[in-house]
Amino acid sequence: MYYYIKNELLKVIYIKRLYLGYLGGLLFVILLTTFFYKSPHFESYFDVIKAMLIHLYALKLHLFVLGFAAFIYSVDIEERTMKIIRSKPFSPLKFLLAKYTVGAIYTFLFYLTFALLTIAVALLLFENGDFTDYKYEGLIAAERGWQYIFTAYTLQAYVSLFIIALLLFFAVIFENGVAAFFITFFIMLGFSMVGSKYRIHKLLPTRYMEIWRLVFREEIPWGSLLFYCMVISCSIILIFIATYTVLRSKEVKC
Amino acid sequence: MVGLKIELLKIGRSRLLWLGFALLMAFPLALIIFMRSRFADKTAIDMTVYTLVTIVDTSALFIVSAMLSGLIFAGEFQYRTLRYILIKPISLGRLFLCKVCAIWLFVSLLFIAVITICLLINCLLWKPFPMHGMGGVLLNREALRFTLLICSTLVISLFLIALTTFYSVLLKSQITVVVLTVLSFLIFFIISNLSPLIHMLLPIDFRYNFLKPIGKEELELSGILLNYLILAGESLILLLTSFLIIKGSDIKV
Repeated sequence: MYYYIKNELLKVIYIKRLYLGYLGGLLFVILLTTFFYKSPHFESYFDVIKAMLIHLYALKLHLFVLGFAAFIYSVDIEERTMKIIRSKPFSPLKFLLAKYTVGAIYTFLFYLTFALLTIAVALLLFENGDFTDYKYEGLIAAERGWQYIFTAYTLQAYVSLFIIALLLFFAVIFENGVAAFFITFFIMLGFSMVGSKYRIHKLLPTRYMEIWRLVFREEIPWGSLLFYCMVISCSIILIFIATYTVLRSKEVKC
Repeated sequence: MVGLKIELLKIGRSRLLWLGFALLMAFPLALIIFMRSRFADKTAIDMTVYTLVTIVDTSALFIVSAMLSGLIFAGEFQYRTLRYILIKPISLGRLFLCKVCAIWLFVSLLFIAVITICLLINCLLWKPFPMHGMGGVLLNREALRFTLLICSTLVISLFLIALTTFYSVLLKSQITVVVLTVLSFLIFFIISNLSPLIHMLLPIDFRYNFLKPIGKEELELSGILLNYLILAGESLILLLTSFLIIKGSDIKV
């Protein structure tokens, strides 16, 4: 298992194309903060950090995570390394777990970098003060601000793992990272569109991915947060089992 | 042109194209099934414009454009097929032109097919005319306005294809190119909203640069045509740069 994870991590570290994702994130933070700086609605830096997380989701910036997940699978197809991997004693379970682990590490690192950048820029440009809730109506005390920020960013990163699971599932089925990226993006988009308009939204996983809606309230509903995370965890496990079953039944194409 | 025919065949036989078509078709169908009762007072042409705007707003068509360009350009590097093409008696310039034409032609056909099917279905369910603009005002010259909306989408697609081509010759990896194009597009979109000048220099905001002037009672034709010219010029610069890069580099396989 260690060998698989080490291999995947080395791939990620040495392939420079992935750093582009980080560069994009940095650019996004700078641009959006410039917007907020001009806006009269943002006074406290907590407001900015909160709004950045909301925009990360609303502006489809989870594409960074999606793109990475597509990449970690398709790199083996593109570089023709899949058949080399499978020519050795191959454990589909360990192989998949390694991909998931690297995906999770990247996702958390991405969110951490994003949060740190946002915090740095926001602290430079804005002042301390109470901030608004997710509806921009009620006020939350600045003393509790960091607790809210930490909870929201950590849990948002955690629920983003669902995207990785879904994409790897399609990548294994189609053996094509681009097709998997495309289908996952459209599924997420479809779920968001349908979920915002109809009563079936409780059945859709995208509802449980909008974690900031729960966190940024006057009192954090910990019970509901736990429920949301449980739903996402169960979905990830189910998708993992399905992916594993598909991968086991696949033949090696050369 | 034989080159164009081959490129068209490549795209036509790709599973990604049919996937794109199926997913694009999902938009009008979903709108018709779920929203029919909500838009009882609308007309077929209004509903078709609404579908078109939804497809653009969700970047669905642009992702399909980026995906097809990635397949045709970066795919050649990825699958190591470029050297086999270049041993045949075909110039690099012609090959490049054929690829760009084939992608744009297919994206246009795909989009026009989806919109035509949508319009036909909508005509069965709603009365066809009139067209409503901003604030529900009645608009004249519906056919011209509708054509301009389709052309606007296709011109933005051309810009995106040029951008994907540029990234393809630099990065040579299909997935990286697709992801980077989509993200760059989002970032350009944010930049273009920073000031009216950037809006003018980078007219990729469909709502601001095209939908608003087309939806007004007085059609601002000169402004729209200027936006087309700017976008086409920028696409041309990107394509020329890509061509020069590919021409100046050795074929590594």
